[in-house]
Amino acid sequence: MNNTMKLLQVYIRSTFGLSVWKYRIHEKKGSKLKTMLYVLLGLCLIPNYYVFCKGIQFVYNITSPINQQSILLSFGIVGIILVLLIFGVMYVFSAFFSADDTELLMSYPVKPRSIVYAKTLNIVLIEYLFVIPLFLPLLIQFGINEQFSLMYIVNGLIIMLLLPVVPVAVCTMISLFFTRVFAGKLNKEKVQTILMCLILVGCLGLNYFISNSAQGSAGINEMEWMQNMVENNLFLAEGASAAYPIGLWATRALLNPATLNGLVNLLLFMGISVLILVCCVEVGSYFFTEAVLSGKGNNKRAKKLSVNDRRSFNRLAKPYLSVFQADLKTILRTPIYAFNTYGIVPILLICGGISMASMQMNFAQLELLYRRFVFSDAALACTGALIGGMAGITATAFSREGTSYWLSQTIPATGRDQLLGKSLSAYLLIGFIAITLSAMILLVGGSLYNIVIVNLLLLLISFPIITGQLLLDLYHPWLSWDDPAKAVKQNINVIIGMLATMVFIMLLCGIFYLLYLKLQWSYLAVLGLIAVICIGCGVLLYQWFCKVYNQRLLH
Amino acid sequence: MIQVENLTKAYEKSHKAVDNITFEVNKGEIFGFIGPNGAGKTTTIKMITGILKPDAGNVHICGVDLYHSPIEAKTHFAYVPDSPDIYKSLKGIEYLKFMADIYRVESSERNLCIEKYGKMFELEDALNAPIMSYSHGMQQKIVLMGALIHDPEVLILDEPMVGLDPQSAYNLKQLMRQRCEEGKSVFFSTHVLEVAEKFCNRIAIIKKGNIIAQGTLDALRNGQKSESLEEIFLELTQDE
Repeated sequence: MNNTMKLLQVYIRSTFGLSVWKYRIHEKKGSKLKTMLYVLLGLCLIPNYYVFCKGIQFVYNITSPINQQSILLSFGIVGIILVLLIFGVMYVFSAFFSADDTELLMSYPVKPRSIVYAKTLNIVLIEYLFVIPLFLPLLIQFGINEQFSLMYIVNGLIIMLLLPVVPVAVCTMISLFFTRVFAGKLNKEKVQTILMCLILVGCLGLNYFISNSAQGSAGINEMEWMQNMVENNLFLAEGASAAYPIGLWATRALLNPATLNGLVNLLLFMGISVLILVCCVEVGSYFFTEAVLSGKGNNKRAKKLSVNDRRSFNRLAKPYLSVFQADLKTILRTPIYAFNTYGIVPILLICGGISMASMQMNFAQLELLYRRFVFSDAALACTGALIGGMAGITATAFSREGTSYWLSQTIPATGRDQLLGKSLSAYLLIGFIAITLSAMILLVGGSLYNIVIVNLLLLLISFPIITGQLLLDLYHPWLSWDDPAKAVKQNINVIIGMLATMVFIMLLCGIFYLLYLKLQWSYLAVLGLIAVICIGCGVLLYQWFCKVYNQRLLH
Repeated sequence: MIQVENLTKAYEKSHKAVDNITFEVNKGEIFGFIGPNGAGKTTTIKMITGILKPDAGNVHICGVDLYHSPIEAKTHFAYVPDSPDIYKSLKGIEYLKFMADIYRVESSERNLCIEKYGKMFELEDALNAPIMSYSHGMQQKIVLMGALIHDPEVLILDEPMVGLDPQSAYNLKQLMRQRCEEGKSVFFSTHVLEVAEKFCNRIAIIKKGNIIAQGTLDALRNGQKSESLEEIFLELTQDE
């Protein structure tokens, strides 16, 4: 246990950059500006957070009259667990198999179990960055509206701290098991991709199951369902937690904090969480040792160069295309990058499909919704651009290079080549989104005109977003990561890029609202103005990028 | 081929990592750059290759001002860092294609390069594998191949022998010599003083950001009792 704690201490210092911060503050190396930036960023998040809290209050207000407010807690818990499962598996995999330290640690007199414990607990700590901001307002809102006793606060804090333990432990065990099973047969990137797909399918299935359970079991008629709701204040919560009973224990512990029932549920939640952690780590340690010691990661013999390989090698490509190809191959061959970028499209499609199925909507209803508003096309384009911007592909374009950044610094590539090359990966995602939106428009009875408008707007809105995010990453690339997951998951540029995207799209929506709905300009004139704004911003950012690139990489 | 004039870089106001250094690498010359750890070798190399911007001074590569016409200057040289950090998700052949495209290498020359250097560094059979599966030495070799693919007039190498097997290290040394015979230049930093002694036409010794000696080995010997470069180096770099 001693070694586990020592390792964990090192991980915490490394992951959260504590030693670096301390050094910088001590050496006064631009720390004040950076700290100010972080504070400013925190302040920028307040409006979003306010909207989130209002949303929680809204859900409470509509579930309270039917005595089903407990669903707020169970949906919150299950939702957080699902997200942790989906995103956690990539993180866990990266921490164990892409991190630089794994093989080195195996040479130290440290038990593999200690390594697995330390890595798992470190990931749990990282997940607090996600869990606390989401769960705390839920806890506070519910407490304010129900009973804010000392026991409620204690129970709430314990639950919040233990919430990420089970998903992270399960992800750890599954990742290590898969790696062991496929060691020598598939390389770790392929294992990671297969695992990711399986987890995704599992989570989406779970989501579907939960949605159906929460809406009522099959075979129960509406009267029975209503009666159950009146009689049992946990009826919906039980449905939502059907696939994750531990969540129901947590909900019960929070609903009756000062009772024996609440205490039993809390103890059950705590006990099972710790038990699952211990079991998963113990089993995972065995697979981890076997997987690492087998040394069968990437050692397959390479095939000889074929005639086609040589032909392709000999084909002269423009520098920007070369930059794009290198960037795209890096994204596609690094599962954490692929999942965080292009993975978003199938996930949203499947989620949309599931939502439609569980809401029992059909295309005719969607068509009605689409035709109801004149500005549906503009809204679709904004949504597409928002999704593209949230993927943050260009916000990490230079950061993803890490220690190989020297190549970008020494190759004779112009700012234009780099901008085009590195932006094309993001435009490819926009292309996928455009195809998806076009298909959706056709399905809901839209015309070719609608498709052209949506795609043109999507492209124009994305232009400044993509260029701006690339500029942001050029200004401050994060290159000192030791695990590719950190380049995209712990990169402040992604958060700033997302925020900037949201602000930009909100501004465009504001302009649309003001000109079209308030001042009643013609629809096409407003779209034209938005197009001009986007092109103007994009061109300005492009010039800014080239200037900064010349200063920083070409001096 | 490389002209460095009054190059200065300070990471902190009170301490200059490189302090007003001037030297020149002539055509057909192998120039060795040696110094203790933290003396400013890598900082100098980073400024010569355009990775770091100097606080003062100029660098000309083949007569082109690196800071005034960086793109043109960069086409004249190739750089191999001390650590072979490159795009590890790419296959060896893909990395070479990337470099060949960036440096506009004609199709007809590309295959020749693979044949020649692939054989020289015994990397032919690994070119179709991802770089992440390479050993440290193989990664060093693929970076070298990428650097040589456009046949640069100037080769700038930071500790190039580290990680290479004896055969490849020997081949690289022969290659450096051959390039000099062709009128091209090689600038390299090393801690292996025997290599510097044996292969360099001229040597510069850097200590605490200042060049404390430079010239041919014979010139360095002048006024010193010592015979070998190792002894000269130790004498010069010893703290008073």
